[in-house]
Amino acid sequence: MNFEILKKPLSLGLLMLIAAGLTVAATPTTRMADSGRKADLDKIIPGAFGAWRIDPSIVPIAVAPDVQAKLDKIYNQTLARTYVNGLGQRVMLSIAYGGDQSDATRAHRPEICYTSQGFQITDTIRSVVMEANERIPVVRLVARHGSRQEPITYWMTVGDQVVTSSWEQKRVQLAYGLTGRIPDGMLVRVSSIGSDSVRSYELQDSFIRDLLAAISPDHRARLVGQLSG
Amino acid sequence: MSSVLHVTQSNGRVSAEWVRWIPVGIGLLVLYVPTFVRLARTLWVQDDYMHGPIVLAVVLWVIWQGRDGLRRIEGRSCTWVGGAMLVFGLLFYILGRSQEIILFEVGSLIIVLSGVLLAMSGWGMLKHYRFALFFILFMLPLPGMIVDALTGPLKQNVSWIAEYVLYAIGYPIGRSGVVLSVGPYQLLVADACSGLHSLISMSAMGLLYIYLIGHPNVWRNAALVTCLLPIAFAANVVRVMVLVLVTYHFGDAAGQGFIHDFSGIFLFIVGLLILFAIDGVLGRIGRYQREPARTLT
Repeated sequence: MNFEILKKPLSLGLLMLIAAGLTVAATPTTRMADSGRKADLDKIIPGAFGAWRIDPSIVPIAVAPDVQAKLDKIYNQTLARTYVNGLGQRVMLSIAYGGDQSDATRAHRPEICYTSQGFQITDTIRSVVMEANERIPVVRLVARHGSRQEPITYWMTVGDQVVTSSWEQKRVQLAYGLTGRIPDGMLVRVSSIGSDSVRSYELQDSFIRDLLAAISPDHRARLVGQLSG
Repeated sequence: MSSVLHVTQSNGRVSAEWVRWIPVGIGLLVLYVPTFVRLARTLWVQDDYMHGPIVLAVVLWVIWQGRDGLRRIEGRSCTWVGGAMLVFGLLFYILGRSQEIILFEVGSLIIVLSGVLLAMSGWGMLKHYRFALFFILFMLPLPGMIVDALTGPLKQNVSWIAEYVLYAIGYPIGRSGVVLSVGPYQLLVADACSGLHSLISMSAMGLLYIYLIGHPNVWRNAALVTCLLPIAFAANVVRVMVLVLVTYHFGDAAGQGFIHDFSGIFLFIVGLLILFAIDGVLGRIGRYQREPARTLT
């Protein structure tokens, strides 16, 4: 048996094993969520603020049971409430918080979540909500199912940053990952039923402004990250 | 300068030239079995990427089919180029897998395999396996930016063509953006109807057919390749039109029901059959050109 010819393959194989080891070493393990960042959504989000009160008779679009089971594994907390103001206008608020952002969890975005329930998604644009002195980047889209038309405004946070696209989500996750940290993340979704998207978005914006004004600065940072203003 | 190493043993024992692939094989398995396990759990469960396992099976099969060539070693100089390529590919793997960038993790396979083939067997084998290496590209997820950029225009085009054709043959159809109104119904051409991912999967299967059928004529192959995207696009337009017609004639429930999913697969098969038909026509033209005297009598 000529062992000479094994020198090359053994070196190549060794390189690959070293790569496997380096991969394990480079995989982030510190969860930001574990360092006291877990927020109790039920406590943070007030039941009543400004002109808004919880309307217990309506619950926002709930996810299908099998998807919920998957979400329960991914997201540590969810909150779904409908608020109504003095004029009878209703806004649905849905927040999901997860200790770990990964490719597999991207399924929670409204584009995927609503379509899996039979909705069609259109008119997706990136926009901003003006709030106090800050601009919150958001995604706006319209979900339709039969006669039901639901304009939606949402944003995601990765760690301390607001992101509005998969690309940004990955980029920010990468920035955290290269320092060894697994960022937590939140998805905040505000929607209302209405055929006039412009009016619906205005309503949703005023809801968002009222909500952010009603919570403490620390908790506000959890929802919209540390904006550079 | 090339030296060919042949060590053949006919007494049933594993011959030396295969043994040298074992350390490399183990390395590849350690790296990429976890990759494909993760892929199976995440990307391949999505409808858009169901062709993933098929592509992997094809790549493995093609490699296995060509394995005889792996016995040969050609040229010592390839060791260092191959080694460098391997290291380069491994860097992508490390970054991709540790930071969960599927594109890098799976894409690294192409570079790593190329490096290994070069180092172990030389440029000849790299050329021998070029289809398999290229085909791995069809396992990669489409970057989000490309999906965002292409979905809108594709939807617009599919919508207006569907409206134009159906109107021309007499249906009461109108269009506002990507919403088609036909009779009392309103149908939305959603992102999923853009056909972007079916363009990819149909192209993959079409390319596989072209590779397997192996025509020696470059022009024939080039013609077939150029047909792939138009056929896939046309199939998707037809699908949208079929769904519009089903809804018009049988109602909303029928249009949203199983016809919706079934039509996708059906049109996929139709698209491939059209490709075979075009290939058949090209073959007849070729024969006609080569032997005009015979056909004229």
